[in-house]
Amino acid sequence: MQRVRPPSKQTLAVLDALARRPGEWRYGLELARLTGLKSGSLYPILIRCAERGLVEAEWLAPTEVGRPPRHAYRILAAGLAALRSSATTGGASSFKEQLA
Amino acid sequence: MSGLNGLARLILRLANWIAGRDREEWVLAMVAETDAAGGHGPAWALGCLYAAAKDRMARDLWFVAALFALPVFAIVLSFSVGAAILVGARTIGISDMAVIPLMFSGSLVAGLMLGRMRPAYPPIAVGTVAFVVHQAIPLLLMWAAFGRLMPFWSPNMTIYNLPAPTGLLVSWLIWVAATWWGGGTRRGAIA
Repeated sequence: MQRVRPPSKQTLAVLDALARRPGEWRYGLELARLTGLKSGSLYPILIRCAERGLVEAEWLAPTEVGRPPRHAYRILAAGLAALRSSATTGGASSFKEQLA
Repeated sequence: MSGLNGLARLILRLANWIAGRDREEWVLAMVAETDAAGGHGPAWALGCLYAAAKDRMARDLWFVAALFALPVFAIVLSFSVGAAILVGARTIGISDMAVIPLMFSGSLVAGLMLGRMRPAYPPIAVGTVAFVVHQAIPLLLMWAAFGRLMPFWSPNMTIYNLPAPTGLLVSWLIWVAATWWGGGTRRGAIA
């Protein structure tokens, strides 16, 4: 059985960015801007969160003509719960402050 | 402006190869986002390459470790079996020609195990990597211990009147065949 570790600070930062507007879909570039993470850190987090059911991913139709559809992400109830349970330790909201 | 210039495409092609089929959708996501990244496309793509490698290592850590550990095991097993049988053979009068094939036993067993670990991976690629590691370890150990490189090592095929490097070719074929065979036993069990 695979051991599930508690979310890292970077993971919590991603969940926090998605939780600011829970019903909305966010693109990868947007999440990178909000969290300060680069694509090399962001995608492993998104993959892990999607596999654990914390986040859902979907292809959205392009907003510009001639552009390909883009993958977008939205937090799920389990992701919100993970965020809440980490709130007592300072978690994600302090992460961006530490980066600033 | 699309971020998918020639460099970004090349980087993402490599990321796709590393990530493997299991991550196909995520790689497509990375491509689409690289396109949207405009002038920062190549930098975004480079991060995606790192992400693909990091994710693959996390998924395949044990297999990567096995790719190094099993060739070491093959060396130890081959020498142990070979030494034991050569001593026994000389005692009871069996020719070395009959014993040499048993010197490949380590590669055979280790290749089988590798094939069973990842039956979906191409056996020629896995077997070749394992063969290269199998050759490299004694070379590096000799260089570290004695400061010089051996040209190659493998069971001596000259007793069959074959050129010495034939042993290398036979060793490689055994690694690939054993990996293929191991994968086949696993695929048969899953099906």
